[in-house]
Amino acid sequence: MTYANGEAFVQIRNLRKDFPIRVGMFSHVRLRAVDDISFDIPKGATMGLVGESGCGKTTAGRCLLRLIEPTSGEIRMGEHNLTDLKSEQVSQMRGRMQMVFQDPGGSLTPRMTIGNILREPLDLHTNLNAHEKDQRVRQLLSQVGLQPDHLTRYPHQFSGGQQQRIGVARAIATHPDFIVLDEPTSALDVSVRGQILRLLTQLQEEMGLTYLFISHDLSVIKHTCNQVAVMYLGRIVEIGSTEDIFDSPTHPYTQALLSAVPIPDPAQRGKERLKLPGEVPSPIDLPPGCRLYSRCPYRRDACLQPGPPLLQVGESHQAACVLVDENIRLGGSNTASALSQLS
Amino acid sequence: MIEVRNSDTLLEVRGLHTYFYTYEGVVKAVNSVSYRLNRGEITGLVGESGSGKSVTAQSIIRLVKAPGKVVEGEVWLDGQDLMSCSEAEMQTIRGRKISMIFQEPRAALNPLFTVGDQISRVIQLREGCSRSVADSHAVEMMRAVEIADPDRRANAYPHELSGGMCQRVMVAMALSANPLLLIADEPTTGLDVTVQAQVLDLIRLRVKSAGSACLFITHDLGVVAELCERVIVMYAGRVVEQGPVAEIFSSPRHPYTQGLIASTLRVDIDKPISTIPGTVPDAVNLPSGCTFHPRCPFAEDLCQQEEPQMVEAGKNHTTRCHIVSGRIEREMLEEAWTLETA
Repeated sequence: MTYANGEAFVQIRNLRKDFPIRVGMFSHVRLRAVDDISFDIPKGATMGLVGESGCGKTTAGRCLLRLIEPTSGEIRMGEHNLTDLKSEQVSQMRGRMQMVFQDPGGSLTPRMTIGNILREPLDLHTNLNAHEKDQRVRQLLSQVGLQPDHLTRYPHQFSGGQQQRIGVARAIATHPDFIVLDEPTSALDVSVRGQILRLLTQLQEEMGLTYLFISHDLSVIKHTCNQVAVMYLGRIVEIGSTEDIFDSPTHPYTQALLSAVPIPDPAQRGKERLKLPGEVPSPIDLPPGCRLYSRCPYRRDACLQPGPPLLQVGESHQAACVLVDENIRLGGSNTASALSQLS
Repeated sequence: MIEVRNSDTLLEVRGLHTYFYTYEGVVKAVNSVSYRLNRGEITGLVGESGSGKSVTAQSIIRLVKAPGKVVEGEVWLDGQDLMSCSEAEMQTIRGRKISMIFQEPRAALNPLFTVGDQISRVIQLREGCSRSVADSHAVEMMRAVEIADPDRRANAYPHELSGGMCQRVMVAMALSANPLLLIADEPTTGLDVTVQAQVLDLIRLRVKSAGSACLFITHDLGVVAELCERVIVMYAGRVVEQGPVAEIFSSPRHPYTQGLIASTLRVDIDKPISTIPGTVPDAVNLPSGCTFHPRCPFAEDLCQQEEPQMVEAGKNHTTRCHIVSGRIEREMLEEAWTLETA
């Protein structure tokens, strides 16, 4: 795993994305898919964005690359402020920031051979001549563990794992600095998933890549990321190093999410669980207070106040819960036990 | 097989073969599969995509779609051979003695009827009771699967409910008939983990209280460890290992099971990312001998030449491997799975 040198390479500040939802012939309501999120990713590091369906993690990832236009906020990559760029300038930047998609088959054009799929980004973003492009395509194939004779084949002739290798090869074709990985292993079988995760880590080391790793699968996040942001209904509820999030989860949502993950060890069956009743509420017209209020076992009146902001829990660890404040006053280091005393 | 038949056995599958006759050739989706399910027990059927786990379930209820066909085998449910039943008899068995829950609840529900209607319909068919009686029974079932405000939700159409809620409706519908056997085919795949936990609790509770047997098909070993008493592992159409859940996880004997457990990432433990080299074989051209040998780090010449037989690996624990049977003398080291593969 690559370790961060601390300096922020990708900086997100107060990113917001609203979608209008039509409710009548003329009227709209606002769905705030991403609500005021900020984080930094150091060069060569992996930031994990985790949350359940509808939490806004994919929208956030797409806003970062300006595949969709953010409503407000600032995105910086290196010395560039992406939010200021005009759309043609963004197109020029695309060679430096790429994406790997969830559905490996669906993200490859079925009528193009693998050779053409890999040549396309080179045509768009580089000035290589035909011979150089050919060489680069061959090099890409070997980098992701495919054979040269695969060049003339079509996507449907490959297994899911191989298709995802092609998706990765396409993303790294133009030597990008930053790649958004949107659930890159969710559609793959367990035995193949490890191969793709290893490939991604290996490429990161070789090429100094910076990743945003979007996933709903906490076990994958734990094994690939340096830092993790947990999202719930458009907001970041907790952010910190991977150790912070997995060893001392502080927000009740993070705790519930972690305790809901089945452990592949029958000996641990029946462990204590923090259960969240009900389901994620509709994201339209949410109340100003804590988004988890309707499901939180520790809720109190203070949670209905606007906010809560991200509060410092540790050096690099923040959580957006009013109980964090109380817990610090209580002097408890283990929020889970402190929380259970409170309730 | 080797086990003595006991009265707790509800379903027994013997030598099941289901083949698909395609243009490319014959796909042996289920190849000589035998197992038994006990009353009050949840049995996990694990395997990767294409291992034949769903086709096994379809074969039991005789809903294999053409060009697929059950070629050989017996399926005994509570003393009745399902393979020799007429189609009319099967109709009465499906939904009454055997119920099924599918992966995509919204696709399995009829979008034109309210969920209350659909549950009520199942109850009317089974009990032959009036609609109003069945309707109120349906609301009771919805309450039993912990749907909040069931009176109002019974009038909702599937599109008005979330995925988790639709899956609860499916569970209510499947269990409203008090089936002897519940087959759940990846019922929580696609649900969020917090909702998955709720649905699993529900299935466990309902199966235990009804004393039914449950065949739980999944690719998620975490779910198996939390829910099941027994595990059946399938690879390329064959059962490669089966046994009690604690034993399968603590001392898996087949290399594929070992690789599968090793490559399962865990949130509670730090360990290097492990993987099984290669990919699932082409279903038309299965490898000779042991179908796992091209991916097996312990394979030797014999594995390529001869198919291993099922052998005993412990109490109620069987597996199909030349190393376990003693035909090959070799140690199976755990480190084999963490080695870098090209």
